Parts: sequence; C-alpha cells; structure tokens
Amino acid sequence: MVIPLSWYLIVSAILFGIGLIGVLLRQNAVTILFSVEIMLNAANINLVAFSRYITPSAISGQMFALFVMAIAASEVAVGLAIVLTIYRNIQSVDIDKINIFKW
Amino acid sequence: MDWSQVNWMAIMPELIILGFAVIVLLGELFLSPSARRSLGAITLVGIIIAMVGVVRLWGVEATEFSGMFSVDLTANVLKLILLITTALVVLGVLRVKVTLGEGEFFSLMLFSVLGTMFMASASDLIMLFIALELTVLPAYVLVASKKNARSAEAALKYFLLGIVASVVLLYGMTLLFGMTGSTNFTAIANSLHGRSLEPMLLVSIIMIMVGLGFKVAAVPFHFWAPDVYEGSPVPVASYLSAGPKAGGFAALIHLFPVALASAAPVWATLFAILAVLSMFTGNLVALAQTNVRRLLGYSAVAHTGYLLVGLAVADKLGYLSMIFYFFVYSLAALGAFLVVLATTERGIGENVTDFAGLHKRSPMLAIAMAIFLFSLVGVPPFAGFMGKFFLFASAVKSNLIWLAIVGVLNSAISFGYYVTVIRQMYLVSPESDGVVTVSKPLYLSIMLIMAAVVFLGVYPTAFLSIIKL
Repeated sequence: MVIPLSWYLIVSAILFGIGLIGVLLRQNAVTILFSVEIMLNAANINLVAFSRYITPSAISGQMFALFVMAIAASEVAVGLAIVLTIYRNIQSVDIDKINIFKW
Repeated sequence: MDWSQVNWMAIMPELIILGFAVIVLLGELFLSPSARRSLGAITLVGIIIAMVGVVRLWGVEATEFSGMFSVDLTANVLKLILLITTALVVLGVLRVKVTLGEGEFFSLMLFSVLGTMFMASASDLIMLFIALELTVLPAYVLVASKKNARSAEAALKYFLLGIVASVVLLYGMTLLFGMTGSTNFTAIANSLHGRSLEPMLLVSIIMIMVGLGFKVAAVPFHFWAPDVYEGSPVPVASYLSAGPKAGGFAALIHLFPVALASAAPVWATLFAILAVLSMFTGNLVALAQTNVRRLLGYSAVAHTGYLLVGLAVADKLGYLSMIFYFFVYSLAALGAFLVVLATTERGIGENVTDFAGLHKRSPMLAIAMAIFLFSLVGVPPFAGFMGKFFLFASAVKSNLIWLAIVGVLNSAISFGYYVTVIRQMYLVSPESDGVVTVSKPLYLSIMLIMAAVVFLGVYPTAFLSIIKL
C-alpha cells in the first residue's frame, strides 16, 4: 500500500498544533523551547514529504530540511544560554515570574 | 553547478563583512586588552569598505548561485542604508564601554549585518530563512549581553517570540513549496500565475506575513519591540532600531511583489490592516509612556505602520516611497537613540523627566534630539516630512485616500508624546546644571545624522534620484 501525501501532511499539522499549544499554555521556558522544536520538525516533515511527492527529481526540499535542522540546533544553543542568564538572575525559568516590563 | 561560472563579485560586500567579522572575533582572542580598543575602528573600516563594494555593484542586475542570490537596485539601496546606519552606530560607540568584550560585540553586530545583507538579496526561500536566522541569532545574544535581569528578560521575550515567528514563517514557506514545487521566487511566481486563490495559498501568505511582521515589529506581533528597546544595552538598542529592519522590509519587498504577485489584492489588503493597527496601537500606547526608550519603541511600532502603507499600495511608487521613508526614519530613530546613549553615559536617567532642561546642560544634544523628534512627527522642513509626504501621496494615487488620512491623523497623535520630551528639554528647568559632555566620536555621529536629516528634508531629490523615484 502506498501512503498518500495527505497522511504526512496530517501528521505534520498535528505536530505543529501540539507544539503551538505547548508554546501558548506552558509556563516553563525550556518546555516552550522544546515545543518550538516540535513545530520545526513538523515543518521538516512537510518539506521532505513535499519533496518526495511533488518534486521527486529535485532535492531542494530535502536540502531545506537539512538547513532547518542546523538552524534549530543553533537556536537551541542561543536559547538555552538566554534561559541560563534568566535563571542566574531570578532563580526560576517560569515565564510568569518574568514580568519587569508590563506594556 | 559549475563553480567557474559563479560570479563571486555579486557577493563581494557580504564577503568583506564576513571577513571583518572573523578578523574582529579573532582580534578579541589574540590581542592585548589595550589593543582590543581598536577593534571598533577596524569594524568601521570594514563597513566602509563594504559600502564601496555595494557602490561598485550599483546598476548591476544579476541573479547568481542557481537563483539563490540576486543583486538589484532595491537590494543595493537597502544594503547601503543598513551599512550607513550601522557605521553611524559603530562610530557612536567607539569610546563607549560596550557590555561584552569589544571583539565579541562588534563581530556579533557584523554577523547580524551579514544576515541582513543576505536577506536583502535573497531570491529563494531557503536563502531567506537562513539569512533571517543569521540576522536574529546574534541580535538575541547582543540583547542579553548585559546579563542583568532587565537585559535577560528582554532577550528571553525577543527570543521566544522570535523563534515562534520563525517557525510559523517556515511552515508557511513549506506550504508554498508544496504548492509550487519550487523554492525560487521567480519559479514560484510562474507556478502561481493564473491559478485561483487556493485556501492553502491564503494560509501560507498569512503565516509568512506573521513571520516577517514580527521582524519589522508590526502589530499584533510587536510585543518584543518596546521591551527590547528598553531592556537591552543602549548601543544594541541603537543598532536594532535601524539595521535589522532593513532586512525585514527588503524581504517583504522581494517576496510579496515578486513571488506572490498573483495574490496581490489579498496581501495588499492584509498589509493595509496591519498598517492601521500598527499606527494606532503604537501611537496611542506611546502617549502613556514615561521611559524615553520605551516611548521610542512604541514609536518604532507606529512607524512600521506608516512604512507598511507602501506595501498596501502595492506598486513601484509605493515601494520606493517606503524605502525613502525607511531611510529617513532609521536616521531619526538612530539619532534619538544615540542622544539617549550620550545622556545615559553621563549617568542621566531614561525617563522623560530626566531630560528636563537639557538645552541648558548641552544645547547641541537638545537641538539634535528636537530635530530628530520633529522629523519623526513629520514637521517640515525636516526629512520625516518629505518621507511621509511621498508615502501618503503614493497611497492617494492608488485610491487609498482613507489610509493616507489615517496616517496623517496618526502623525498628529504622535505629536502628543514627542512634544512632551521637547517640552522637558526646553521649558522645564534642570535639577542640576552640570554640563553634559559627550565623547567626540559619538558627538560626530549625532551631528552627521542631524545634518543628514536636515539635508534630506530640504533637498530630498538627492536621495530620490538615486532610487529613481
């Protein structure tokens, strides 16, 4: 049985939704960071699936996915460093406690 | 790909910036602490050489690297604006103690500039995404560089909102790729030509708009801007107020009119909505601010609103007026930030009331600040007036008279908060009459910007003839 393209897209959309809910509802900065990683991987599934089904002869979609992985890694590096700075200042990574600036 | 066919000249300015970024970073490692002070000057030299490189590419229209990278007039003008404003920031902070080591600070700034330059020339989704990340990742670090609670909080908010916006942008790009089977802007345009507006295309446009809207701080994706402008170290805030936005607007000008030309009425309407929301939110919230940097942050949001009018117009005249106004705005905003830098360097606070009687303590700083603020309002004869005039005139020509009226109305509202700063400087007597001294490079930088703001207001054709308006 050949798996149709739409199945991949549904999985990707579900992952993106899970990540987005995590970003919106979680209070822990590290958890938010990992929710964003899930969203990035949803985009990667899209890229690879489209690349396989829409343009089987070209590999630009798969190349894009590789670059996204590299960028995701550098984002985590910078992000964890910033979270660490926050922790050193207020001994917490709870975003509800990060409230110096109001509006 | 045949490597001998690649025209390396096309990315010469970028290569120069990359080279100097690496040199400055290595300088931090190997130079003695006293020699490290010269790294700022080296950065300045690098930026000026890159400017020469951009000028040498003037009039060149080329697409290189398998359609990844394109050089055209818009990209060159925006790169030049970016390099000029960054050079002025570097000149301003030459004698200022920066928060990190000099080498780290200036190389991070150069890497961010490099990303912005690639963004201005990107003609491919992959290139655009990588360039955008290269712009913002060093910026996150720079914002956090003071390591105190305020700086860290600003950085965390900037970072979290930034990566979510990036991911949404990326997802929108993948949908666009899936619909067209290509990542190249021109190929996407050809593939979309003549197709009706599919729901997937609409979703993709909205997602891309969210991602790039964050970059340029358009409402409702503006929440990071006031926090970052207030919380980050002042030299960083000065850089962020001008430089990286050039990349955001360059991406908007290249992606939407080129790749998504067939859906023009849809995104033009969406940009008009964003413009109105940004103008009103920015200006009305700024009225309630007491911190000068936060006030400038909301003013930046409002100005993004004015600039998006150019995209709502969606024709060449609109884009060119937008580029002109962007230049004029970034000069004035940068100048205002450098004045704040000059005063905070002397221990003066950042509240509006701390500027009381500045004209007695430093007449030139006060007059420079007043000129920058008048230019931001759009009072003739300063540059902001000509910029707004061309922008709103382009809206009127495209039958968007209501948008022009909203813009003028908002300029009137904005007068309310800019004038409180001017009133403090000239009409309130100072608490202490100590003279505010300014380091020479910073003074020179502020004076250069002041001269440019006055010159472009009196004689805008000097710049308009360059961008062929």
